[in-house]
Amino acid sequence: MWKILDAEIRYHRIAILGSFGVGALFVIFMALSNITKIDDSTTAWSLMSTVMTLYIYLLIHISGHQEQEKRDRLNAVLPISINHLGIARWALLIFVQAGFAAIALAGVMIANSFDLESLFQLLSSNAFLFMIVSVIAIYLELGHFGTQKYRRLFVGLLVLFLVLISLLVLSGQIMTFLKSIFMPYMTIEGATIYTLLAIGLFCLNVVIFTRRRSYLS
Amino acid sequence: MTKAFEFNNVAKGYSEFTLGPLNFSLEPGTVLGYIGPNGSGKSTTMHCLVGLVKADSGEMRVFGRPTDPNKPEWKLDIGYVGDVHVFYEGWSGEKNLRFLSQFYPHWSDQRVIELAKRFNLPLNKKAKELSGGNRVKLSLVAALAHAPKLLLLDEPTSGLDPVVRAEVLDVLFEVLEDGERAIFYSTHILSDISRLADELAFLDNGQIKLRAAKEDLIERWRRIAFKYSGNNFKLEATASHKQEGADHQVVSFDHEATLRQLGELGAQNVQAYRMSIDEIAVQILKGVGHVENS
Repeated sequence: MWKILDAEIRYHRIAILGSFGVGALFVIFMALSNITKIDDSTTAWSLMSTVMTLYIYLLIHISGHQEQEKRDRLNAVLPISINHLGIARWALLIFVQAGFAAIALAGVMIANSFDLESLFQLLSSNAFLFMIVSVIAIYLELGHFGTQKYRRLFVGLLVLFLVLISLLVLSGQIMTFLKSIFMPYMTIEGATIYTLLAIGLFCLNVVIFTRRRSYLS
Repeated sequence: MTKAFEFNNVAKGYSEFTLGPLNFSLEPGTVLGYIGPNGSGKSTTMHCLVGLVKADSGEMRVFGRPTDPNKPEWKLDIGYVGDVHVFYEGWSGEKNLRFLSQFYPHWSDQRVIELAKRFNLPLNKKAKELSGGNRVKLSLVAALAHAPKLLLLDEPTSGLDPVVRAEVLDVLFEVLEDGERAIFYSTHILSDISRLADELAFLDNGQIKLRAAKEDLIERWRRIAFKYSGNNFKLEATASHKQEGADHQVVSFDHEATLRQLGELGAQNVQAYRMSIDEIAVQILKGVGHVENS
């Protein structure tokens, strides 16, 4: 598993190092400019971490989806277990997220506003991002089941979710609903719940990968 | 002796095509040519065996080990050259091979150097810059570098010029020299396999129609011409029969039986001609109903 992750990191090293470099330069710029306090710094850093991670994910996984599929085909023939391969192909995303979280934390500390809320907000932001990425990935994975019924079911559930949201908007209950979701954003409970949900979706993603009918690109 | 691989009731269904159920195996040290038209299921068979496609039912074993995707030790014994050659496209051939070498304890860099030299393969070029033929060569080097006990080759010489094709076949002969390695070779270029194969399996529409030793096929099959003016007769062991007046031409899959019957009928000017593997293969795949009875 680590050999695959190592290869993926080395293969995407320019994109990863470039993005990390931009993030680190931003932090260094703040330090050199003696900026110790910015408005609502925790939100700013969480946002930066999330956006940068999303950017690099989009760069590597979505724009290079076909190439990723070809590498899956290469790797599926190698003597490694399919469970390990399923984890390894997503471990790159965890690596990138961890990198940006570290940069964001460094930024929060330079901004001299580090507190536990910052950490929880960061965890929640990353967990949300992970959930979005996992939902996209699950949709793509279901295309490899040799039948479209699971994909249709998945899209059906998403449409149902959107219908529910629309009903909440029409009934004027949307703000109550959103508050109930986002209120615990900066608490340990919220961060824990979101992280567990993200891990759950990640595991589901790996399980779906291992249940594929085919690893042909 | 443990089989190189075994298929037990392996089936794989698609909307318009079903492979199997397949029941066959391969002995170590044997080359089995897997012959069939496009779309007959050759690549699907390979994909199932190597773990790229999950069979709907049945069981496969490689050197006695079940092909469990979560106990992948069985893959250590396999060298696979697929119908599509996939690599880390932005990496050089050398870097791709270095990546692959980590997974195989018996990987030999010396072997890589030797093969690359023989195939005239530029290892410093990025995979995406390699020509189709060089991609095949890189796949072959990767498949042979860890000295696998079982080589799965899915149309390995397609896209190669005749010189390199001959070189590849020479290398495969060398691989077979120690007598323990097995090769499962799918192709529709019969001239390649006729040099290399010990046995041939003919696949049509997802079913193995015939499996036989190559020498046995060459020994038994004949094109027979004769003159006979009678009408009410049916020849045994024939795959096809053409008639123009009293001139007849048949293809026999047991020429001794056919000649004996012709002698009993009193046929004139009987002449039997040896057939090439190509001709035999065409007859088998065209005239399956007769061949099944051979």
